[in-house]
Amino acid sequence: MAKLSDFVPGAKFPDLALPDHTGAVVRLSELTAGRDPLAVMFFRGWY
Amino acid sequence: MVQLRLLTEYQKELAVSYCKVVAISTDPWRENAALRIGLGATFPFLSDADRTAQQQMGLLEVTSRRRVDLPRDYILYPDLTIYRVYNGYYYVGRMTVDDLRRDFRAISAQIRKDWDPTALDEQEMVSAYKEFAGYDPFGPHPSDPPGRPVE
Repeated sequence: MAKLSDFVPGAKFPDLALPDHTGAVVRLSELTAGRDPLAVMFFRGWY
Repeated sequence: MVQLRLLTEYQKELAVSYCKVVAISTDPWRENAALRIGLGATFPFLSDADRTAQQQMGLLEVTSRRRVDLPRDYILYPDLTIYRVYNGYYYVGRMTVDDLRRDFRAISAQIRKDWDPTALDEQEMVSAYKEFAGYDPFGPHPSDPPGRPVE
């Protein structure tokens, strides 16, 4: 399994496929469409 | 929540930047949906409720009984190569709107062939436009109704 320290500049980020706010599964590569930069923000959630 | 509120304010710029933002938490998608609506955010929220990303990347926040993801921001090139990482365990480490503007500008300057129009001749500019927009700026526009003559 990968470690957090593996995900550094120059490394490939996993093409995560997760449910969006409608429940539809979305891949990160669909968001970039191969042409736009993407900021991925992990947050602790609503509590 | 402060960071999400600031990103929500930034989304007006994002809409004209040819850049994307996505927010991910371990909340179920319906909770993400409610939070997104409450904020007025238009960018997507993804749910890592089954801890897929957490396990794949080692993102577990070990001091949380709720097994949430560590706060962390990744700026990616379009092919998902990592450009920059922000360790957001402390709020002050997190990506700000100014960071985002700077990083997106730097990446765009690298990947957009026509970033600096003065560096290209007319032919190269038209070619770069075609490649980016997907149509010839002097030909029919994709939104033209079929059959309408080009003026």
